[in-house]
Order: sequence, then structure tokens, then C-alpha cells
Amino acid sequence: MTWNPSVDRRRFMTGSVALAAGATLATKPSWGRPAPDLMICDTRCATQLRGQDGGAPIAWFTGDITPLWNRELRRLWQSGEATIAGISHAPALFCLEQLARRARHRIVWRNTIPGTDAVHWIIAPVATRGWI
Amino acid sequence: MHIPPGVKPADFQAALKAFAKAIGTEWVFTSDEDVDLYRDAFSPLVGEPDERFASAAVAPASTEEVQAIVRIANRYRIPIYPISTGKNLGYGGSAPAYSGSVVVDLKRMNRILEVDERNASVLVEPGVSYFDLYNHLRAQGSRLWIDCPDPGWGSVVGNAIDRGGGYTMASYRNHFDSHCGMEVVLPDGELLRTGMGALPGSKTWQQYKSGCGPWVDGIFSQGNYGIVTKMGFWLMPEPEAYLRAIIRVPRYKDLIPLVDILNKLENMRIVTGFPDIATPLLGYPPTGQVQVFLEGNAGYVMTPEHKSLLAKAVQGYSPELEAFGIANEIPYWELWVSFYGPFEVIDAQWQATQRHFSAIQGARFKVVERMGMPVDLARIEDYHEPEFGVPSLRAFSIGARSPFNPSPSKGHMWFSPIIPRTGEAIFEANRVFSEAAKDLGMPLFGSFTMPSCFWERSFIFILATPVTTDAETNRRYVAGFRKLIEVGAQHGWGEYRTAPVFQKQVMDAYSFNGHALHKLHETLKDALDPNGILAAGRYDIWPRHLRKPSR
Repeated sequence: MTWNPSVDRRRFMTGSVALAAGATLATKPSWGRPAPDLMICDTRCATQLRGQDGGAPIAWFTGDITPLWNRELRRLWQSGEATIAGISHAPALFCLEQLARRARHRIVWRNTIPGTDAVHWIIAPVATRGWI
Repeated sequence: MHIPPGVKPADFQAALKAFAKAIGTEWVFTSDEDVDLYRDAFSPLVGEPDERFASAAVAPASTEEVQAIVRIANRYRIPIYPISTGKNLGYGGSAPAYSGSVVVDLKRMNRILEVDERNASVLVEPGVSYFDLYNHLRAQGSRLWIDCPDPGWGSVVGNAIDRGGGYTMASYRNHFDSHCGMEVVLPDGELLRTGMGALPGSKTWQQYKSGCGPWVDGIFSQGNYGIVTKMGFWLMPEPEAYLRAIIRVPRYKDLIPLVDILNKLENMRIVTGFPDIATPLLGYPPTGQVQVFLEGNAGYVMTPEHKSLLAKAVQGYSPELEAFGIANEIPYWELWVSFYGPFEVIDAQWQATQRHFSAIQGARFKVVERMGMPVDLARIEDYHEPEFGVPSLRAFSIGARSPFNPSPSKGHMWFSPIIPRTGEAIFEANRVFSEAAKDLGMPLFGSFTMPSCFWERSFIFILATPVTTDAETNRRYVAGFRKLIEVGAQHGWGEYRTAPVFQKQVMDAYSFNGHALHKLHETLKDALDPNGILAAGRYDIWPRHLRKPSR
């Protein structure tokens, strides 16, 4: 499949977000869990997206998270606690996890999509409990 | 909750209470979730009894708070282990060398205290990352460059103290060598400033390194004699222009004069940028371009005949392979060189460089890039960012699945012996380590390994040993790594840096005159840290009460 960012971004915005992540945290206020402050998506994983959009802003990147870190994440975590959810390959998630540590955040949920290298995940403040 | 070994639970609780009083309850971390953040992400001992754990962590915000923590640790005999950002992955990360230590996380000490544009220097705290410093300089409109490693999320201070390296001009690439002045909290809580910083009201703390009398800064690198709370660095003024070029030579033995001429040109400050040796005939890109190759944007495409000849080569050589390369104009070796400065200077340096390398028969030359600075940040991904003083995390794309890396590992351990800066040493190291790796069943090599050229006077023969999710495989690789250390030492090659799990063995190899160096380390430890509270075991320097009569 050829990746077309504009089409898939719209599709992502209107119809989908991280599959289990979206299902569990984005649109379920009755569970007492907040929507994520930011959703992060590697453009190369966009075909794995399913579920419901929680209305959180979406940040895109392709492989290297450096621009995302400089542009958004650094400030987000400097400003305090924040929950982010997303889909990426393992190396990008590793980078996010390491950067999250410095802000006292951790991966609270992750799920590798069978047959792919894509991972759905949620990173939240370290004291967060009771995700999946 | 873990309790530091040898510490009574009541004393530990009292210490935690005292830490909280000194720096605030919210900055004393004891929950499992918090303490887990300090595990070494690349530990080959994950899940094993020997994995290093913290018992708790504290995050002071000032030098005074560090002093308070150190004094409390002395009062209750609590082992503490300072980290700056804890990103020393492959060399131990944020986990303490002595399991059960309380990590002193300096991340909140993240102030950039001074930028001196005229002196091209900065004074920073240990929590300042390369990203922080880069962004600060850009926001200020500074025309100074940082020199950063791959990746750029680590601490400027921490990387220098661990003797890391970068990719710009030689005088900045060795991060410890490019520092100028320290502030250190000693193990008894006393505050020390080194170099000109020892002079009250000094005007030159970041201008002259050594002050007067014995220069002591070196003991605070890879040591456990103090917690560095401020450190000055010399930065590189943004050059007017940049030139990158390649020298290609056709024959196997050409590597020897190629390195010799490079050394001469570097030592005369004619070649000023990061040199990088690659081997198109053997299919290996230059170190600084690895991620570009792995991302599939470049690469050496081999014909079936080429692959077949390569498979039959022994340690990267056969007469047939060499003849194939010459016939098809595929160079055996490529030396990537770069120059920073005004156009008229870098053009002249490149001319002189070509003249020197022309002594090698069949040498060919190509300019890859010649451009004015500042670099176009919109195009920065076309380059190896650190060569332009731009920090990045792109190196982690090496870890992604790709044609070059079909089975990504969980992490890696760096085996990093220093070898002579000669072509002969490259050949010998390849022979010795490839034979050892084969015997050990370790997946270290392709057909040839090229050294890294961070330092001007020596090579680092860096090998990444994978860390997997399988404990048995990791045990085998750890045993193999130990064997490589032994083999290296037998050939006169010692490592420049290593993870805590290997520090004893590496330091054991530095055994001249009955381990005289180690004895001095212990003498210093006893004098400066009689209670043995600070970073016990770091580089195998143990306080008296934890020392084993092993040597």
C-alpha cells in the first residue's frame, strides 16, 4: 500500500486512533480515565490504526522522533504530567520510554500487533495504575 | 522496597526521612514503579540475580541539596550513586554499579549557568542534555556549536565524565578534554572547584584549565571521588563553511599508508573534521553514515559475483576479491574526511590533503559536500546531524528491522578496546577478534570491522554485542564478552569504557607493576571517602568495607 499522509491523517482524525489505546482510554470517560493529552503516530504504522478517535491532538513522525521531541514532547513533559498514546515501531517507543523516564513517566500498556513490527502503547505518569 | 545491603532498615528509613526533609518529599522516590525507571535498559543481566537495582532515588535541585544528601548518606552509611541523565546505554545506563545504592538523579540540576560567546564556552549543571544546550544556544541566537554524541539525549557533563566523544573538530570531539573547570561535591560534603575556579573571584574559570598546582580533574572522570555539580566546556565557533570529501584507494595494503597519512594530516591540523574509514569492497559504510545506510537511503549494492568473492575472503582479503575491486573500480577503502573553516582555508586544506594522499598509487578523490554555514536545518536529515553540532536520536534507527538488521536485538553492550592508529592494527584486531568471536559463537562481525576515529591518536575498535530477551543467550554473550576483554588485554588493547558488569575485569587488565594503578585508586578512595558511600564499585574502586582481596 502506498502511504498518503493527507488521506490517512484525515482518516486517522475522523475515524480512528490507536486500536486498543483508543478503545480503552480515548473515549471512555465513564471508566474514570482521561483522554490522552497527545497521540503520536509513526506514518509507517498508519495502516494499523483502528478504533475511535478520542479527540486528542495527533503528532506525526516517521522513524526518528527527534523533530517530535524538539517540537512538542519536550515542552509537554516539562509542563507537568501528561498521558500520551500512540503507535510506532519498537526503536521509537524505546526512545520515548527513555525520554519519559526523565519526566517520571513510564509505559503503562503496550501491545505488539501480531505479524507486524508496530506497537500500540500508552505512556503515563509513573504512579498511573490500572490500565490494562 | 529494596534496602541497601548492610544497612539496617531503621537507618534506611531514617535516611529517607532526612533526604525528604532536605530536598522535599516529592523528590524522594521509593515506589517500585519509580525505582524501576533506574534499571539499565540494556542490561544483559535483566531478570538475573546479579542485575543491578537501585533501592531508592533522590533528585536534588541544587549543589546545596547534593551536599545535604551526601552528608545524610555519611550519617547513615547509605551507598549512593549519582547519575546525570542516565543515558549511558550500552555502558550501564542509570543502574548503580553497587546494587541497592540510592540513585542521586541530577536531572533537576538542568541550568545553563553561563554562555560566553566571546570565549566560546559554557558552564552547565549535570542535568543539561545536549538537546537542552543546543536549543538554548539556538534560542539565544548564539553562533556556537556543541559537539554531541550519537544519540544526543545524554548529559553534557555525564558524557564528558564518562569520556564520551563526538563528531566535529578534533579539539572538541573528546568531551572530557574539551572541559574547562569543575565544581565537585566531595564524598564528605565539602565543595571543591578545580582549575581557576579555586581562585575566589576568578575571571578565567572557563578559560584556563589547570589553575596552579596538581591538576585533579581527571580523578572525577570514570571515578567515584565526587559528584560534579557544575562543569565548563569549550565550544566550537560556527565555521563559515564545511567541506566533506572522500579518498578512495584500491588495494588491501593501501590501508596502511592511508591511516599513516591521515594521522599526519590530523596532527598538523590540516584534516580538522571527523575522519571515517569505510570499505565499499567489503560492504561497510563509514561509522558516521551508518544510519543513513540502514535507512535505505544509500548503500553498497553487490553483484552475485562480488558476494561470492566476499564470502570466500579470509578476514576481508583474497587476491581475487582485490582484483575484482580493481577491475570494477570498487575501492577497497574509503576515507571520508571533512574540513571546517573559511572557504579559502578548507579549499586549501583539501588541496594539501589530495597532494599527500596522491602518494598512494591509484588514489582517487571526490568532494561530497561543499557548503556555507549555517547548515540548512530543513535539510539536516540529509546529513549526519552531530557533524554539524545538531543532536539527534536518529541513531536508534539502527535498531529497527531492516535488510541490514533482520533480527533486531533488545539492546547492546559496547566492547570498546583502544587500538593503535595504524592500518596494521586494524588488520590485527580483525584477525584476533574475529577468530575469538568465531570460537565463542558470538555474532559480532561481518567480514570486517572498521574502527572509530573519535580520538586523534588512537582508534576505538567498537563492537556491539547484542542483548536479547533470552537469559541463556545473554549469559553466553556475557561470557563471550569477558573472553574478548581477556583476548584484547593479551594483545595490549585495553578498553576505554565499559558497563559495571565488566568493570572489574577490564580494570584487572590494567595491572602494570602489581596493579599499582588500582592501588592508587583505592588509596584515594580511602582518603576521600572513608565511609565508602559514593558510587561503590564504579570502575572496580571499592571502599574498604566492601573490598575483596582479589588481586
